[in-house]
Amino acid sequence: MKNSIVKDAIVLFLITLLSGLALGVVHELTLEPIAAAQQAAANKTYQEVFPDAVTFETTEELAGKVEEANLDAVNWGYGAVTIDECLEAKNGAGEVLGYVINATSPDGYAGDLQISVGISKDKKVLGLGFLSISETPGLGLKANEPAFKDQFVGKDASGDIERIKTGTANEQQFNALSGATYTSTAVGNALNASIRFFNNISEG
Amino acid sequence: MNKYTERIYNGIWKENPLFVLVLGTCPTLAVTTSAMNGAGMGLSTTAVLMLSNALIAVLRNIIPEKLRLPAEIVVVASLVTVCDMLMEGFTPDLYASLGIYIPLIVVNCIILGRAEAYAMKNGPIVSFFDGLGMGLGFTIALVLIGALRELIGAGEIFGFHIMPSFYTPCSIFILAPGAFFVFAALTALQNKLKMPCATNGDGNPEIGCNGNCLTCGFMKPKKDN
Repeated sequence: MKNSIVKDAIVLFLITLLSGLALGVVHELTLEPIAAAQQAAANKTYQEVFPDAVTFETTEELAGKVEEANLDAVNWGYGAVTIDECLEAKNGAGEVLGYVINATSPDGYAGDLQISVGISKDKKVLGLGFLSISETPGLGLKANEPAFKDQFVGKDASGDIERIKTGTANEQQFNALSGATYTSTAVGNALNASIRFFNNISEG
Repeated sequence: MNKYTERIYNGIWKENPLFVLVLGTCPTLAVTTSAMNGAGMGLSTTAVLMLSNALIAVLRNIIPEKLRLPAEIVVVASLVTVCDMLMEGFTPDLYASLGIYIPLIVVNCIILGRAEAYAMKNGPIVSFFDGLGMGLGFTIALVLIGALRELIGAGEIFGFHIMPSFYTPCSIFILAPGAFFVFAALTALQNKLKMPCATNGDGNPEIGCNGNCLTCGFMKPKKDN
């Protein structure tokens, strides 16, 4: 009886040990490809939201400002939004054309919703894309379709962009997604926080 | 029909994991908001199920009788994590569409159910085919439920609009309650037609556990020596 317990324990130990080793090996093997794949996916989104730029780089100064902004972001009135990253969008000659800002709002219907916004130096929204969205298919997930996303192109980024439910949106407004109030609110919060951050950095 | 194709037929029709064995209902209710989601979850599960069945069958003579569950869970969880990492690293496009379902597979009781009920008693190759059949059966069931919910709730199937323009989609069907409505309606239909199902009380005792926990292998451990 005692022997069988010891034997069982040793077998289970060996199985877990081998599984652990296998996991470790695969983790090492996939570390670089995973990082590269994530970078490639992010770059694709950046290119969509800022079509004219060629390279996207962050600087230490911008990273510092992101950290600073997040200390204060809860007081901006856009829910528990956070600014994740800010990158300089540069053309082939290395000239800064504007910024790509990533922001997360936790106010979506299915939790966190992360957007990426491209804003040019002359304060125009160039595009909006989603880095992470898990809203309900058929309702909130429709935000990730061109019919919703493309309306943001050319909006005025000097102040808040207001969410409206009916009528035609002007330069400071966008049309909410029908039946998806949470999603629309979360997109609005993340977008307006990005715009506010943009204005903070471009003024100071 | 040889024993391999028999396994596939068994998984798809005779012992369909969802409709007949009634396994894996949690992920079913959660992810069938559209036919595409159902297919994604089903195919990811199939891949893991084939590998986990084969691996457990290889280890079946080594795994101690009393420690079956912990040993199986360790193997299945490691396998799922390995799949997750490999997919994310080497097939990013596939990962983008299926990735969110992978972690959900660990908690899918079809995997553990088949490891326990089949792979522990049979050879690796036939267990592999059992996994393939069960996985395909699960995929078909998920696509069926997903398509019905998508059709009623959004007027589309696989993202293509099919309902006439005067039809107003009934959004509740793509929300959580819709999952219960559709699954309940299909099960009711199955009962009405007296089709075999593990939860039909006096059904066939050879299916699943016959809705009776007393006959379950977990409840009657072999006497240890």
